[in-house]
Amino acid sequence: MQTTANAVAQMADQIIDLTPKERLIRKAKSHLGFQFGAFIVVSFALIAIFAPLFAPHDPFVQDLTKRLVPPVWAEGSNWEYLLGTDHLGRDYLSRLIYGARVSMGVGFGAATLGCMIGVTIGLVAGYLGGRVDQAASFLLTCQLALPSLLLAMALVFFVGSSVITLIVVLGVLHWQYYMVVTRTLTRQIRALEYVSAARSIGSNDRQVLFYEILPNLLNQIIVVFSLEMAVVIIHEASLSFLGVGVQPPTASWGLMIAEAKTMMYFKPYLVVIPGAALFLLVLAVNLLGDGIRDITAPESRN
Amino acid sequence: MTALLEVQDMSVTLKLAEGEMTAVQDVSFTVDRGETLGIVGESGSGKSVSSMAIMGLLPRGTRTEATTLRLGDVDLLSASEEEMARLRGNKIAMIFQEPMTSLNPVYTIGRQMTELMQLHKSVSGATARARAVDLLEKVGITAAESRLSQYPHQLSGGLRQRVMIAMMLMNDPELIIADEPTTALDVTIQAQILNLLKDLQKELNVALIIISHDMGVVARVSDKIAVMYAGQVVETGPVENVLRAPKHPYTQGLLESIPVPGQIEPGGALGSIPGLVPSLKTRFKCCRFANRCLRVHEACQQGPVALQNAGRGQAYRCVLTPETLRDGASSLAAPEAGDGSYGTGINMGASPVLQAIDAGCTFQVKQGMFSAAKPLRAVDEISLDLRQGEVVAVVGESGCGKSTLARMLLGLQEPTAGQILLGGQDIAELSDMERSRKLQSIFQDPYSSLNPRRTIGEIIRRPLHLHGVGSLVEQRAKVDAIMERVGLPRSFYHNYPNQLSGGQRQRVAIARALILNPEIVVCDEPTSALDVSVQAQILNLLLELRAEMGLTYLLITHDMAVVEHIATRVVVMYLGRVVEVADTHRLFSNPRHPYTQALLKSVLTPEPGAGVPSVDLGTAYPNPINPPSGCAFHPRCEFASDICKVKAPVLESLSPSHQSACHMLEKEMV
Repeated sequence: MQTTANAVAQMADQIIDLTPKERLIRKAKSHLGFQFGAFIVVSFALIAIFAPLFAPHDPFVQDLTKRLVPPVWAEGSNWEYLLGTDHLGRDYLSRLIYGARVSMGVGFGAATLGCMIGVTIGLVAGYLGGRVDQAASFLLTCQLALPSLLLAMALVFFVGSSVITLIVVLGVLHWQYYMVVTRTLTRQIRALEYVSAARSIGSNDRQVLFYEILPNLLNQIIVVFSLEMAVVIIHEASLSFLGVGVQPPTASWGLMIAEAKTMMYFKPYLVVIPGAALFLLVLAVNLLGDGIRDITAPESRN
Repeated sequence: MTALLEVQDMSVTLKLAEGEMTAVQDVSFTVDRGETLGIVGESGSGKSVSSMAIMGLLPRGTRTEATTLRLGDVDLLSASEEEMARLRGNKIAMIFQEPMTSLNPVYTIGRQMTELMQLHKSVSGATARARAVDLLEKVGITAAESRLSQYPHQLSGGLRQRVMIAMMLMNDPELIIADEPTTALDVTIQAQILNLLKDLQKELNVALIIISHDMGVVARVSDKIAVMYAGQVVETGPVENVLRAPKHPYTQGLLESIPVPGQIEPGGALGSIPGLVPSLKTRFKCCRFANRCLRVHEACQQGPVALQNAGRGQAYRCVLTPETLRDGASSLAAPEAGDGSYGTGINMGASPVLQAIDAGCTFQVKQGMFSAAKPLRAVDEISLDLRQGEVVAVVGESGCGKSTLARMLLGLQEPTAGQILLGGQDIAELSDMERSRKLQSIFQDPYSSLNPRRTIGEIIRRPLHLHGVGSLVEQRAKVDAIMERVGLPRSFYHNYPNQLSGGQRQRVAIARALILNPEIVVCDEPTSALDVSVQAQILNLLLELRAEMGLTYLLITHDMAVVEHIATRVVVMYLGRVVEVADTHRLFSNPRHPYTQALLKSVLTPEPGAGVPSVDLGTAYPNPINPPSGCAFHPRCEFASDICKVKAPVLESLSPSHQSACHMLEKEMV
């Protein structure tokens, strides 16, 4: 008997070794995509927040005598301007650093706003079903039928452009995917037995939604968030490029590309540098989202 | 004479992300034409992997090794992928568990059947169709010709499994492997399918391998049996010998843990095997059963154990000799006979603690996009009383409305007619809090009844938190106490549900249900998702807790053996209505309704060679959206007369504790 008990105890010991936190850390350490994404996103965020500390020059000061200085790796460069200057003689690195503020701010802000709208509609529609669900689905169809970039242009044009307007307009136009994902998953989870179990121990609708269902949606919401953030960052760049987004002299990556478009063929760095920054940020956000999903997914918590 | 299929020392190693896993080790068996081999084992015992290895259907990267693996004169180990593909349709046929998913929904039955034949044999379409019709008739499908143009979704589960069997016979296979062929089917259909398989096998003289977790199924149809545990065959031999005189402690334990109708002392504890089926990822150094075996010996820990011959074709994998096995400690936690007092002391005159009064539930179902919604009577005016201390079992096949009834009784589904009273008060008027203090539930599937995002501790503590019972420290102390009571180690507190096995999860569900000290617990199929040896542990636990806490259970189940073991009263449901209510003892000794009789008859006890009882209920379970007129059971009833077709019978008392709803009762009595 004693031997049996010991053996059983040993088996149990194999299963329990790490606390949840230790397990998360262990998984994060072995996930390269997550580390790369997190590193880039965090560094960009820090640079954006502390832009005045990082920027070597004032991004708005023009010096027409130093127009179009090429970056340090090209001929005729100047170590004072690491990434050269633009057509008005403004330091390109400084503008890039200040531009990160707009890109990150608009991306994060609009994605969060869209997330709040979409998740709320999706949760309610999926949980209540019936007419509420039909109404929400109709709303979704309408939204999907709208050309969102065109609409954003029109809206920003009428309201007058500022960073806040951009965040609100882009946020209000980017909730569909949150809603689709949340609604489908909520419907599935609502039918599972742990929701019935929660009801039978006395939980009310609110407790079921927030304690049982929402935590199980987080993984997917985070993934959609990362995708949407990337989309919104690009949309902001597009709007700025088209002239209805951030207005000069404010620095924005999209605006930088727009301002450089006439010189694209003989001064390619003016387009390539903000383009590369945009690419890197979007890639990093996507990798980070995938990484968070992989690390926190309960299916692989073994 | 050499056997048709010979498997000698087969090992299968699967490649997983975490490394290699030996799912099957040193498995040997032979099957000849006209012979049936039953492979029985719990989940994770490697029984399905063995059959997939024979079929060559294992994923790439899997390593199959064997000294011999031969079908007829073909060496399956060295056969190329092309040769295997030819073999699979032609010589080996496999019948899968899930008839819903093993037929392709976008092709007609006819196309799927003839395609297989035309692929492997150069025959004309007409010949193939003729053969398909022929075989469909053989498997007992009426109007076979017209079935060919039907799609799988137009057939019921039982019919689909018949089609699957007919399809497998198209090319005259020599070997049929049936992997859990009846697990997804209702009990009354199960007997029909097993009989069909058995008859066809005799007629066509093929070799048959039946894989199942159900000792009853395997015992009834096999000639030979192999008991698998943790990737090894632990005992093998003629079915008579193995089941009548099991040698290996695991086989003994498995047989003891099955509640056998007729031999049950209600309320007694079932014999159970302690512990869990080991994960195959474990690196075994010694006997794989040693950690659960009550006769564990020093010799058990000294390296792997070989199969010993016990004579008459029987072999077992244990260090003990047949002589030492016979004496000494029992091989399992001793079953305790009930003292006969089980179920007594219930005051039937007392007012019911939970009561359904003409409760009904009708759903509006739309069949097509434009058709009007039709009513579906899931539960049709059921009255039911539950008194303090009772264990009432509601039995019936899938679709009879028993789960809807459970949801109504739990207050999760509002009845569309009648009412549910909890302690004399309408349950709809009670708040969630009041209701849940008295009434709790345990669900069927422990894999979906626990929120995967919460730790075990959080899940069990949640009811206390919701009801604001005590401080955090007191709550944690309570959780610790109840975890210990239901047999969960305290260290599981911070684990997530997916790190636990099915049985452990069900213990968590029980702990959650009991932590508020409820009066009534509704158990919806509490053991049907569990392995046999674990099922006994859970049933014993439920019985102990009932005695300790004075609980009243409402048990929803389809398993008659479980019912006889723990219920004091039984309610039999058919198509949303109660057809018979009686004390457990009375119902099992003297079932009166033809449906109850059929249900009882289809229970398969592990009795070797007894054959499968023929339960001829004719057609399939009716669709609840178009219920038959009059008595809903009449199309399947052998006693049905004209009145049954027009008038629905009502429950009539046969004795104070026995009621049945059937027009033909008097006539039968004569």
